[in-house]
Amino acid sequence: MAESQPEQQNVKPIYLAGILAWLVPGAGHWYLGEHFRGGVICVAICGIFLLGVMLGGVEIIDPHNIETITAKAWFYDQLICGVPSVIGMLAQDSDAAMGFGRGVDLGRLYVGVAGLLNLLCIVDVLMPRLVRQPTRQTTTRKA
Amino acid sequence: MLQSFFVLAQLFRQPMNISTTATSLLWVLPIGLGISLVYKAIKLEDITPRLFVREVALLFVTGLGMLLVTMVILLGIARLAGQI
Repeated sequence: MAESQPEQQNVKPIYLAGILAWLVPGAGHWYLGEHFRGGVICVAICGIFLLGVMLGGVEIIDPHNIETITAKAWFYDQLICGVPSVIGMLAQDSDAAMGFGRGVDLGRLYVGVAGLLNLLCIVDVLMPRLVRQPTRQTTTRKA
Repeated sequence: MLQSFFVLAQLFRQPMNISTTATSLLWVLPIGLGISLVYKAIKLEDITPRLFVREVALLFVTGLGMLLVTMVILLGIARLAGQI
């Protein structure tokens, strides 16, 4: 009975990890003690997000024009990135119109993919057994 | 310092002008690398930097190879359709 107490103290609430993973990409893994994994996820997803905003301008995160189902899908997809998306929404001018052209298309794609990748990371934080694969035997060589 | 911040911020205000030439297809490289990084970061059970870099490189090259194969097939179909 007394031996199980330290183990219970180390258990971290998984829902909090899920919320952190949504707010800041990689923060959920970092919170659970997987620092390398969290760092890589943070750098990769934030990198894709920033590149997308650089390609299409900050107006690609558009909360005003979401009448069509496609625009709604893109917007909610972008919101999965958490705090970076909110910063993007706050940083834009209210009267500025969204640009057009290949840069905007690519930028929207980049930010959308960043959101979907973060969704994958949230699922991994909440249900790691569903996603992980054991390390392949071929990676360890005998001397 | 503040001026350089505003110059940097201007990068995110306007969309970039990307032409519709074949070189614009190179924009697939950064997103391919990002997807490989995140996918392998969550997929590997035991993650060490060396193993991780190798697995990411393998996935990235495989994905790029498959894209090239798809490109060749589509190019062949386009050539054939042009001859008919």
